[in-house]
Amino acid sequence: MSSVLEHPPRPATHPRGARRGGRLRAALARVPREAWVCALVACLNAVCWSFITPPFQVPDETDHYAYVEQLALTGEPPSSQAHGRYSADQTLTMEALHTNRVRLQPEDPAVFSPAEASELRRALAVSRTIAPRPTGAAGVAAAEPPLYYALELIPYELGSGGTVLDRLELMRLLSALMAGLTALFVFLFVREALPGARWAWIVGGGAIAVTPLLGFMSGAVTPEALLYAVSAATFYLMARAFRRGLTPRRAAAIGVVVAIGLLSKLNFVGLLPGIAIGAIVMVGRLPAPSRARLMRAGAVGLALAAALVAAAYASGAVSHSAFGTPEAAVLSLARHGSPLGRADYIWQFFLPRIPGTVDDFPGIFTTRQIWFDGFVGLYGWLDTTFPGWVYDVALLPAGILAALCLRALATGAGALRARIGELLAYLTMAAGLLILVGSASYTGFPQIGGAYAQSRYLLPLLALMAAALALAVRGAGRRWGPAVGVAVLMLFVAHDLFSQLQVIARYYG
Amino acid sequence: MLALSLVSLALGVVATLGQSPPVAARSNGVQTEVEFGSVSDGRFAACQAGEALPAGATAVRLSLDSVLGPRVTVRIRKDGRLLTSGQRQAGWTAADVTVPLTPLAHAAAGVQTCFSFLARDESVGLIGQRLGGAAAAAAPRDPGLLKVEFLRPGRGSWWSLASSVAGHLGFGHAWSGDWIVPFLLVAMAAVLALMSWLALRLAR
Repeated sequence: MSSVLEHPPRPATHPRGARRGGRLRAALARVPREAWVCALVACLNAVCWSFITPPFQVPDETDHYAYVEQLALTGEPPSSQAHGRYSADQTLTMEALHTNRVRLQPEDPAVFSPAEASELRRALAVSRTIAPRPTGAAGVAAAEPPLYYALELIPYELGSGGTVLDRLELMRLLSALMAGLTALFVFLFVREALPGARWAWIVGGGAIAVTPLLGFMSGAVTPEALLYAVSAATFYLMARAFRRGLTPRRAAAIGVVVAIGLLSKLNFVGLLPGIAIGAIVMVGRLPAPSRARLMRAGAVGLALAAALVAAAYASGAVSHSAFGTPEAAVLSLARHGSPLGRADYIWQFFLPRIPGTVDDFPGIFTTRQIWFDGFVGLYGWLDTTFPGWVYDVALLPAGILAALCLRALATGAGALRARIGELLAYLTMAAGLLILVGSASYTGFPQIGGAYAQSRYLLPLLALMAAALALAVRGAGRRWGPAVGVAVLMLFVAHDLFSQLQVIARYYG
Repeated sequence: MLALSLVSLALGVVATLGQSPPVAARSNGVQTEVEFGSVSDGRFAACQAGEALPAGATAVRLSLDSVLGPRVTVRIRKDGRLLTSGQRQAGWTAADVTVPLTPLAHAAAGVQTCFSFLARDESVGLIGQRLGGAAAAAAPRDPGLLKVEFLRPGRGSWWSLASSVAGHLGFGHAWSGDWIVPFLLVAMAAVLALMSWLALRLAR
């Protein structure tokens, strides 16, 4: 059992003088075929979701599209001070799609009849004759960093001769590619973190590839698609550095990925404390002579990340809004409410209330109803759910998998102790994200009980979920492990398939 | 194990599509035009008279709006007698909430739909039509009518609706058309095939 948690001997290093291109090719060639298949599955699945989910029926997709359009038309990000409407062509398209009527009202389907389809075609034809004029407004997206939107300029420009819907779909397809990257890095993370069991990587990577919430979100225009991919890449690079040692090259890679994360979506900030702890643990393990060299390597990584982020901010590429600068975000979070009240709220946001504290979520078991149920099935503008019994039934496999995971951890406790620093880093990354999401939600409390009470905000932790699944399968033992692994993969396929059917029933049934 | 899983999956899909989708069997015809009220503190209870409860109704949909809605209780009464009731747990998000009901074998006209919830801090919007004049003055906390829809399983299964659902899937997208459904089927078949390949690799 312990082999799954123990590090095997390090692989041989590359021969000196290998050229950079050759090294990259060699690195790609070493990626297992199963990892590429996981990436392909995740990508295909997200493409399916991109056609199943009606345009603009994903949280805040209207705002994210507006951001890209603003960037395309002016070369500048939108302003959070601008509270106007969307551009004329987007507004016209949304009206013909009945976006606001369909949103949040499960009894209202998407475009449903040939007459409505004709009306939409007419609106799209008219919208093509309107020269798009920027309004500067992009709603909640205005405060986000620009990297994802800058990448989305490519499909936007490719579809510039088409309609809003053409551009939107092309942009969704780019997000779908990011789902592939997410699955690939999740697979590679499990391979580095649990190197002793090849089949555990397949279960972890394969299950994540068909996770319906990943497909739903990455089949849409939202910077979260990039956030998931870059978070998975961060976990992978951390695990690789823990397993093979921190070198200047690996430190620089982590620095670059951290910079990309910070320029993708501000939620990435939540992972930083854990990354810092990981770096400290890795440097602390080294013998004294190497430590100075590695400190310099750490400084290189840090400097790279800081330089990239600073350049983006200095160039004005990041909007200077209430949440547009990290310091403003921290100030905004700090000035609302008492620290104790905040801590209590964040606890209850994820876990059962501690007796004697004020109930911030009366009648709601947040762990179950917000986070578990939200992961099992909550699509569209949070208005598309399964029948209630599905969530109850889902508790059974989830409970079995949790028990098997705990069994694997208990059996491999010795190996776990040897890797306590690494574990601490991952757990701090997870806790940092949870605290960030809970803290952001607290700024709207009590008028809105849980403004960010959505499971999608936890998907940057998909790598850890994959590791937990891999451990669960390992916990089933040598005899039953492969069978449980197959069952887990097929369970996630079924989850994905029925989620798609539920969304189809809601919008087209 | 893979064969067993695939057969189970296929049977699950067949069984699910053999069920009837819920349909709105009866609506009070109120348009969801405005938010005529908002409740953010304390217990709220109201009744709407003159509704018609269809036979076999398994749920009622009320036009209440919330991000993290409270527990909602519904009681359907006639002449003061409780006909059926239901409850929706807290934590729902939408511009309407569906509350499951115990179905009745017979229809009942002139029933009273009563609903109640305990709002604390987070507001619950009342969506529908505003009442005017004396009716509004008589109910200052509830000066309007909610949209009330009773749901029950439809007569046809999802299988019988397959072609119309497929047609609807072709509307309202980029590059709309009949190609979307075959494309989705092929793509998901490929996903299933690749996942099966991964599952087979587990056994090696």
